[in-house]
This record gives sequence, C-alpha cells and structure tokens, in this order.
Amino acid sequence: MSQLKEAALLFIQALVIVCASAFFASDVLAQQAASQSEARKDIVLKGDAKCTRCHDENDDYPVLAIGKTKHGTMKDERTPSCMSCHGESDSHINKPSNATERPKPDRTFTKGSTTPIAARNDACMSCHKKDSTRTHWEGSTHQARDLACTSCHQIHTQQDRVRIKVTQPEVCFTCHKEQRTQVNRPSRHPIPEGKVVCSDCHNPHGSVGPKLVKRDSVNDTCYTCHMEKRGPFVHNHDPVNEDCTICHNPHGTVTENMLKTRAPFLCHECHTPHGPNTPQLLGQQVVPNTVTTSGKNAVNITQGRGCLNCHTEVHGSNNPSVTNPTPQFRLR
Amino acid sequence: MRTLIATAALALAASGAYAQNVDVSAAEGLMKKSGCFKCHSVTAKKDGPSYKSVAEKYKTKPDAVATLTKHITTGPTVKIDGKEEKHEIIKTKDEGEIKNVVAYILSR
Repeated sequence: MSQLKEAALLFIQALVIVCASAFFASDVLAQQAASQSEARKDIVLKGDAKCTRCHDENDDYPVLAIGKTKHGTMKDERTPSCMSCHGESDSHINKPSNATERPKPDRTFTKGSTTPIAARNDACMSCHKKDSTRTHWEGSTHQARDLACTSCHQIHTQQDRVRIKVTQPEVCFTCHKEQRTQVNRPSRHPIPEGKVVCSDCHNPHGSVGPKLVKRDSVNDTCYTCHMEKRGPFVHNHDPVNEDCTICHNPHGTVTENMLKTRAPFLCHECHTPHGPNTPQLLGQQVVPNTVTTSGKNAVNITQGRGCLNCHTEVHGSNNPSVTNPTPQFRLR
Repeated sequence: MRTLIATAALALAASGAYAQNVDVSAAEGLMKKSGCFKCHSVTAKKDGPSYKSVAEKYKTKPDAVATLTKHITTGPTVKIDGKEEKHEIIKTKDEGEIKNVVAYILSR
C-alpha cells in the first residue's frame, strides 16, 4: 500500500513539473513573440515592418524618404504599401537556406533591373491609369521605346526632379541632347530660368498631337499662350495656320523671335524676292516673271533685306482696306 | 578586482589598436555595398547583433580577427527568427579591404 502511495506521489510530482514547464515555455514564447512585434513596428507605410527591418535609415538607398512624398500620406486610403509596387517578394524576405545571395524582390525598378518594363509600369499604372493625362500612354513614343516610369521619376525621394520646374529640363535633356543645346541659344523660351518647362508644351505620357505636344496640334499648343496669333484673320498667312514650326524653332535659335533663319532668307524659301519698286504698290501692272526677270537674282536679294520692316503682320491682318496699302501683303 | 581592471585595460588597449588602423569611410562604403547594414547596425540590434556588441564580445579574444574574417568571407549558416539562412559574403576578395572591415567592426 505504501508503494502505491509513493508511486501516486511521484506521478503527481511529475505531472506538476510537466505542467509548470509547459506553462513557462508558452509564457516565454509569448514574450518572445510580443518583443518581436514590439521591435518591428511599421515606420512609414502600412505593413512596411517586413521591409524596414532591413531597409532603414542606414540603407544605401534612402527608402524611408517616401514618407515625405504623396505616396507616404497615411491619411489617404489610396496610399500604397511596399508590396503594392515591389510584390510580395517572399523569397527576398525569407532567404532560402541554401541561397548564397538574397533573391531580388518580385519587382525592382533600378537601372539594372531584370523586371520587364511593362511589369514595372503596371505597378504605377494600376493606380495612375485613371488619370486623363495618361490616356494616350499606350502607343505613345515613350511607351513604344520602352521607357519605364522610373526612367524619369524617382519615387522614394522627397523632391522628384522631373516634377520641379528648375530641374525638369535636365531630366529630359538626358535623352534629348539636341534640345539642351537649343535652349542655350540667344533666342529661346526662358527654359534655363525655369519659367517655361518641357511639360508646359509636351505631355510625356502621350498625346494625340505630333512630338507629344499637349494639344492636338503644334499650333493649338502654341496658341495656349500666344493666343493673339490664333486669328481668324481677314488676310491669313497660310504657313501660320499650318504649323508654327515652319518658321520658328520653339526650343531656341540664333535669330530673334526664335525664327529658324533670318529674313529675307526665311521668307525667300517661299516668296520671290522683290526690290523697292513693287508694281502693286505703285498701282502699276504686274509683269510676269520670265527667264531673265525671275526676280531671284542677287540685286533683288540685297535690296529687299528687311521683309518684316514693311510686312509687320506676318501672322495675319485684319486690315479692311481693299485698295492701298494692299492688305494681302499684310503690311499693317 | 585586479583581473577585472586588467581585462578592462586590455579591451581598451585592443580597441585602440584596432581603431588606429581603420579607414572608416572605405570600410563603411564596402559594407554598404555588401548590404551589411541591412541586418547590422553600429549601436542597435537588428536581425543581426550590433557591431558594438560584436566588438565587446571579440576584441579581447586573440583569434578575433580570424573568427570575424571567416564569418564575413565564408557565409556560415545563421539563425534569423528561428530560420536558418546563409550569412552574406562581403563583396570583395581584397585581403586589405577585408582586414579594414574587421578592424572597423572591432573598433566600434
């Protein structure tokens, strides 16, 4: 009987020990889990603790600065998380035990990225496609030439260079080198001064106009500022209605008013030169040009140098007169 | 007490010796390139121990340099959150640069 009692006592003691150790073990595990979750709190974006445990302020790429951008506005429900753009990236977060190098995230955007351009752009377009200014991205020159959004935009920096007036042209000039030279010519829009920028005239996200101009045509784009040239006029100058860039280079030239060449040579590309004795002005009959009197000779060129001295209304005239001075010449 | 003072003096002397020969900017540049700071910080504990605690643990040991060199060049298995994974290998083969990084860690 005493042996039975001893055995029962031993059994109870063992049971108590097992229960106690199980209780303490669970308590320790709970404490560990609690301390881990305490240690890893979101810093900037919802659910970013998974990423910021490594990519913090010591990182060589300043990822946390996204908190200073619109993509870091936590009050906005549309604000994405790290995973929205970079993918779940399980193998990157939990490095496989046999891997020497940590696998890259599902979607990367840096220069040497192996993520296809379309997949990279999808990350942005999944939210930004609703914007009407990107309606014509598909099929646009930049899309057709495989540009990624991140080719121009920086997402993790507070100041995206391409969205600041003073720095934007430099981003565009990285590829458009000819325009960099042109904007430094004496006759130009105030682009280096930051008063006019590329995106004032162009929509790099696509447009229906040529050269990705903002409006449907070059002229419509120019008329948004130079509305006095729009007309309609009683006496039109056809190239003005057709395309401003027939005579002007809006990026800059060495001739005043951004003209491609100076008068009279620019005008002579279309018009026959004439001297001071214009028969129409003198009320005389016009003698048609012949082989020997074509008008295109050195005497006439040197005589009629300053076309714009008299033809002041080259963009169009509303002079109602039908007699002198002949309004079709757009003299005033 | 004497032993304690002697150990402290030895540790101070050792850290001073390591600190003398460190090119800090070169070490930090290489460590950033190798992604060391993703898991380690100089003072705070991240997935890996802080370099300060590593220095405290190893700088009095005679084989400290050899141990740390082996650790950063061979990619031994380490435990993070109970999961095993291989430690990243430093992105250089230059022995001088590796020595500089080890000295940088031990001088923290």
